[in-house]
Amino acid sequence: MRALLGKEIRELVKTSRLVILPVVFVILGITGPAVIRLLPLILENAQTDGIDLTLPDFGPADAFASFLEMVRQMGMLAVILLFMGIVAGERKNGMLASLFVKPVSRSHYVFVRWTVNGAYVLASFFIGSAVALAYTFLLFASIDVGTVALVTLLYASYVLLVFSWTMFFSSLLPHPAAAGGLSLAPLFVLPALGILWGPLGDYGPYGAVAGASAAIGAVGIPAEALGSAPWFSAALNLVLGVALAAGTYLRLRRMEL
Amino acid sequence: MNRSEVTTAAIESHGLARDFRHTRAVDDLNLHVPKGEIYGFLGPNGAGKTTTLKILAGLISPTAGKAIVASEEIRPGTSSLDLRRRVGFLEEEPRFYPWMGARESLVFVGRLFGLEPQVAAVRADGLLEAVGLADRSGHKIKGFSRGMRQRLGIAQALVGDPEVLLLDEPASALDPIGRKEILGLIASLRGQATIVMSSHVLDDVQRVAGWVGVIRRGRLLTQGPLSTLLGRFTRPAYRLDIGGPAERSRVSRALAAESWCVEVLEEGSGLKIVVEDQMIAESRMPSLLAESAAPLQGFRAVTPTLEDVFLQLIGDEDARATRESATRTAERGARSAERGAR
Repeated sequence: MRALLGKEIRELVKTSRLVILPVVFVILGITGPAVIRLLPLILENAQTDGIDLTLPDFGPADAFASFLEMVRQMGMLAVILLFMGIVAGERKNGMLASLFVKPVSRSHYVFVRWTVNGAYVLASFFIGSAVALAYTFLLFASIDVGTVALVTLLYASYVLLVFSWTMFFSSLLPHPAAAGGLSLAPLFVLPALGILWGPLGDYGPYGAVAGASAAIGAVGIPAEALGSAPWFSAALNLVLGVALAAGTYLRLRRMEL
Repeated sequence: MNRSEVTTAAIESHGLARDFRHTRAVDDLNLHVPKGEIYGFLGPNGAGKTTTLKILAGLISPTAGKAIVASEEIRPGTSSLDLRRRVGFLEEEPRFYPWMGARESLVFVGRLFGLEPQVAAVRADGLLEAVGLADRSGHKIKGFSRGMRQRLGIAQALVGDPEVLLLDEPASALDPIGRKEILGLIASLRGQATIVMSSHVLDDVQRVAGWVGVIRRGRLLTQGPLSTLLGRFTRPAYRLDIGGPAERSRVSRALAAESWCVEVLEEGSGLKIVVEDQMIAESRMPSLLAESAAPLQGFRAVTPTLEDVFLQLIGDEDARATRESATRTAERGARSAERGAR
């Protein structure tokens, strides 16, 4: 187990993967607040005669909400692209067979890969959040750090879930691209569940994201107090994440190489 | 199997079979690999060699039958970590993490086998020396040629000090010098580990293997000590060097007409004669050559090779398959004629 753990960490460092995701989230952390800060200027310069645009006053909550929105789109896409080959890629290039012909337990393999890479994804997201918070302070005014911390935690549960399902699909399908394609589907399906049945939206996996967005507020929409539903959803995301890791193990246990 | 062939086995399989969808890749395989022996596993492409080795390494499960490898039992649906601790496996195209260095990779494998970091490092250095990669120990594997990867693959198969070493085409990507070195390394392991090596290069197997098994369409055609197989499956043969082509042709025709002569083959400036019975051939051949008045430049007995055994076995199997197919066709024809008559 220690050998696998050491290899996983060295792989992150030596393949430069260690910097990719933090850089992506840091860029989102900078551009999120910056876009909100610069939006009135951009629109003012682009304004043509005869059209009079009245923009609301953007505040620090909008700046951080903008970061979260970018994470929901581009951040998740980056996680999927980076990890769609986590199992499928190693299976395709024969590395998995080379590893499992040695005394390596498949449960240890899955545990180490899920834990190390999951921690890496979360750490990257937290770094991006810290940068977004710093830029929000810098470009706007102070923001309630306690709310930002809670919102970040709620979002983190969803980020971990996205990583977990990407790893699971990567074990399910033999090609990284196919695993990546399939991993995109829940990003569209989960937000739509609330339309089918309200409580599914509040208490389902996407409830943490919706609750976090509501708690931070948005342009013209006042922030709502966090209820129990987003926390239930966050807990569900953690349980689902562990279940997907277990599913990855079950898939690998039966896999012939 | 002769009494002399019965030895303590490191690998035994009974009725081992493996199906892939509608194809039976391994069929009723009964292997017997004596402990400490080098076992050459031969067969044409697609014969089932790699599938067999993967089953014995615990990478894939058999569909039926069982095998015992280094005292660990393999049955359908089983997977044992203990088996993999005792077995070293070299794939035909060994794979490594490309970002690792050669030494780092061996130390990592050693750690997977439970070695302490210092012990793994010492073993890695020794093995890099043995496979001729000591000067590349710090280099990233990404830049290695196929031959270098194969050498490193052999080293990583040996890291865990395995009781059984399964090598799938271990010398296929090596140049003649590398091939000689690696075969020397494999030969030096005789007695320390039981080695099963599959190969298309029969000469390689003949150089190092003490036992040989031949597989065809998933079924084992024969196995046993190499010397026994050479005696059992090869016929006596002679090489005649004769002056001109016309004379060669005349002698060839005269020999081919003899009942004791099985085959006459033109080989360069000479003839290879395969005979049924050595005694009869050696008593009749001088007079026949004298009668033909051909300018004889050389005459010697040809030592049988593994290639002769292999070709004869494969040829016999093809002939048997053709006979069976013809019989089946004839039976079908007879049945349909019978139905027609009714």
